[in-house]
Amino acid sequence: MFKLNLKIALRNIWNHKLTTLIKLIGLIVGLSTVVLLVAYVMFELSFDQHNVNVNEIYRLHSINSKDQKEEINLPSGLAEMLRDEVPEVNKTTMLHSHEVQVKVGENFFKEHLATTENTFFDIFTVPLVIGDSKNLLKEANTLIISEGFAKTAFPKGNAVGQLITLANYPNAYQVVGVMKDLPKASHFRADLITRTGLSKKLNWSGYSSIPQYIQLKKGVSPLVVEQRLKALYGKYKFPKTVKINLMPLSKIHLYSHTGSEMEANSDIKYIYIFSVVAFFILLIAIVNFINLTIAASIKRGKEIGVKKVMGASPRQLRVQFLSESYLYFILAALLALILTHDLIPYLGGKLGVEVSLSGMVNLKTALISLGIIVFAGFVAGLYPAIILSRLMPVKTLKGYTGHTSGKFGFKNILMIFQFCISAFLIICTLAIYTQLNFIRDKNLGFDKEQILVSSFTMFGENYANFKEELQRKADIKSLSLSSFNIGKSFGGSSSWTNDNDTTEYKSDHVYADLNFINTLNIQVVKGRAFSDKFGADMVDYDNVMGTVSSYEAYQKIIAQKPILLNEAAVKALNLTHPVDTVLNFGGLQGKVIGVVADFNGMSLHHKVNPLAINLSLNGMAGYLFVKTNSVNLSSTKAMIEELWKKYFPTIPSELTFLDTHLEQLYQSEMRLGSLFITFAGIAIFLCCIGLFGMVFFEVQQRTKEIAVRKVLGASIRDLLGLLNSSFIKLVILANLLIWPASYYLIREWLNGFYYRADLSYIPFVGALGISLVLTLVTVSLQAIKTIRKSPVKALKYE
Amino acid sequence: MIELKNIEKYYANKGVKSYILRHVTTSIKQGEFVSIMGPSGAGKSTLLNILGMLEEATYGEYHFMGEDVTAMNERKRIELYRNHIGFVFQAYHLIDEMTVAENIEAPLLYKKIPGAERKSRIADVLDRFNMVAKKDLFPNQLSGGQQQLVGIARALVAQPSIILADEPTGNLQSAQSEQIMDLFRKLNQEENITILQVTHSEKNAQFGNRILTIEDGVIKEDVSVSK
Repeated sequence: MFKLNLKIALRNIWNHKLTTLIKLIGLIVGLSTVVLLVAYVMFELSFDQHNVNVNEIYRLHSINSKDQKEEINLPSGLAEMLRDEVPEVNKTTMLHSHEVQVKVGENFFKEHLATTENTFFDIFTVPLVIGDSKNLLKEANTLIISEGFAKTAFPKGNAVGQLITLANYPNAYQVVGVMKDLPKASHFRADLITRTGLSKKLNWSGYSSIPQYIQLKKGVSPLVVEQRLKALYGKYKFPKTVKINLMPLSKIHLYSHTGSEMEANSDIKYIYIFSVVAFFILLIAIVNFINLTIAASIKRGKEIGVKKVMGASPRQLRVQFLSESYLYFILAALLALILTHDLIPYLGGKLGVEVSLSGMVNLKTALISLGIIVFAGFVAGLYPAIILSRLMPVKTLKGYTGHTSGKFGFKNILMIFQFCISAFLIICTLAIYTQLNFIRDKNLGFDKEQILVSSFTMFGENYANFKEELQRKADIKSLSLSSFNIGKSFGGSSSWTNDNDTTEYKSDHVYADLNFINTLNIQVVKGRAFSDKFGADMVDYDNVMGTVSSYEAYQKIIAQKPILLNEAAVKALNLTHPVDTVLNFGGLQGKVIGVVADFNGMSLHHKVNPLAINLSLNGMAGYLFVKTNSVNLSSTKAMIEELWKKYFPTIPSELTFLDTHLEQLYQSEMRLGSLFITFAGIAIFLCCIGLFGMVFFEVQQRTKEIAVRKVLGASIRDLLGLLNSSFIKLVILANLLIWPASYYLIREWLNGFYYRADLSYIPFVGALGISLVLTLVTVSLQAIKTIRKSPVKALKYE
Repeated sequence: MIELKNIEKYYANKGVKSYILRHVTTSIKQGEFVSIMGPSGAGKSTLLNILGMLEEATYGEYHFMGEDVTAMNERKRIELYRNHIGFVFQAYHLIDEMTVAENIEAPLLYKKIPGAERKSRIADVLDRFNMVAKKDLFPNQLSGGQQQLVGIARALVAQPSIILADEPTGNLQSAQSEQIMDLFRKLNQEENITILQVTHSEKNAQFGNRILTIEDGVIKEDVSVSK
């Protein structure tokens, strides 16, 4: 019987190619989306799982009880203190990794350097290819490099013993070992590992940017440690507002969002969003399947009736239809696997994820996929199976004309559901792109075109000559060296309390040379910008300390130090006449010479904070901004790089265009946007082919009606209107239904931006418009064939 | 074999009952060949459907092989379909996706007859109906008469005790029609299979041994056919 049913199913698949194709494409797309999602989620969840001790390793975080801000910059030696005081703590290590320029022979490489201690190899699982883990990094200035880097840097395979120089580090390092490459799913990257020489005594004045890790003894709950910490806060004089928190290693990638993560972490939020969206897409595909199966049952009524009178029980029929669904699902799943095999690397690039299908194949993913297929096949097959097996043979044998369940049937509910999802995705896509456009077009308060910016560089003494020659070039309008790392940090910040009313003030600081304001074209609203025409501006305040005899003399000079404030700072300090005011607050000292308009130096997620621009006349390190007149930016860039090479042969140059640099600040939003546009596209596509199939059956069922109407004088347009109207109603209803939910979610998302586009009606109306147009086109394309047919045939057939 | 007592079938519409069958009382014995005749809309097909348990009577008693059909559950009814009743339809109702042999095999599958026996029974039936060469064709590759032969073969292969046929030759030309009727008579006489057919044709009715005439839902005449 199974064999016969299989045969019938295959012949059905073959004989109804259009429906089969629509069903299969829907399922393939739906299942592929799910496979891709599973790949993505598995990747995100696999972070740091390669470590054998993953469940015992924790990173130390501090939480400030005032603003609940979580930080990983902690006093150095904290981990050691814990190891000595808390018996449950087994081992500790420090670890920090950042990108550095590496010089091997004459070649430059950009690699991740991890600074750590020898205990690193006890805690983290990093197998060594060459070298002895016990004695590694005993000596200062030694390095362990990854297999991958060893292959690129030393193709001859003689890495151990070689010397490597790191940009901005004075000494040469010797390679003493080679380790296996770290997996991509690691919260830090390391191509080179060296040891740090930090002091180990707990010191509250010496915050270290190097994160500290502890490994607990097996089976110890972190709560035990947090409990013991309570007693230690007093003993070690922790600041009252600071508490220590243990962040499990496995959660760092998805749950840790401190300002100093070593790699851009993901967010569990994204996992949820994508899971829900992928699930919705699978649902759309399932709905297509259900609706088309039921619609196609018009043709199968006879088969069902005959089988029933031959003694088939409803259960047998249900089994038959369920198996047919599974047949589709298995076919679709196989095709989806073939499709995703090639798609995963491509989409992985889009998502910033590196996974391959073969890398995903393990028992867990196999079971998950099987589970999804079994579940989805069941859901998709069950409803039609029940409906069809219930059909009364006396009806089906006399010419069954389709399943109708009341005026507003289940079919319509399912279609509304589909349209809701696709409308939701279109609305979100439109809203995200509205905000991205807003970001792109927003006047940030400084120029972003025709400006090149360097990475942080320690230029040294030669900078003055370099600057001199560069400024003389015709293409160069102006240049400026400052501590301003656009979008990431202004350079410094200070906070102080007003003694009278204990209000807290906070200000960011930029340390910049004379040309900062005009290079970035920041608007000065009061007073003046820095200028070499003023004596007070020509003093090297950074080095004034050594030239004066007394502290009073120093204070006197510093009181003349020119400072520019932004409007937010003027407002925060409540200055009515800011110009010529002398400020003396902790880190903020000097004389205000002017006020600049607020500019968005950080991402638009955040409000413009009070900012002071400090003059640093002879700075030799920082970020170089070059404003050019030239239209040909890349040739200017090449010219600057040429000159750079001449003056700083040992320092690799890294220049980017400011506007591209700024775009990187919104990478996660752009990623979200491109994902939503992809998902929305898939959803629309699925809805359209589903609709196409439904219209196919609708028209078939109404062939006679159409013919009669035609004979009575209905025009093609009348008939198209007739066939479209029922679907158009569903689309409008679905759109209206989804508006409140999408409005709420988009508003939530936009609230993440301090500067945001107004949430207008455009995404909503736009989505409605897009849905309507696509529905009209789909329905009309399908219907026009039948409508154009001569009515004679349809009428004669009866 | 079949006992009908006061069978009524009506549809109630806004308080008005429209009767299809009224006071139908009759009995049919094993081995009879009964033709049900009457004008269009008289209730012939409804009666046949009720006899075939495809429809339920609104009122009345129906015993099939001594069992009360009105009190019968679905499982029991399926059991009867599998073992005792064969249907033949005017529109043949072969399953388009199955070949001739597969169509004939289908009822045996539901009867859970082992593979070897199925094969021999199908071969037997095909042989008897002279259709061995056509066994791998699909229904749409056959003429109407041939399709109806397959339909009868399918009804017969499960070795039913009764065949219910709703205008079995309604779509056929007269030559083919006669061939089918001959077949029915042979089955009735040689294998003692009870046959109940609805027909419009006086000529076809003559193949049987009893004619029930229905008019306006009531049995008007019940006569034996004199040979």
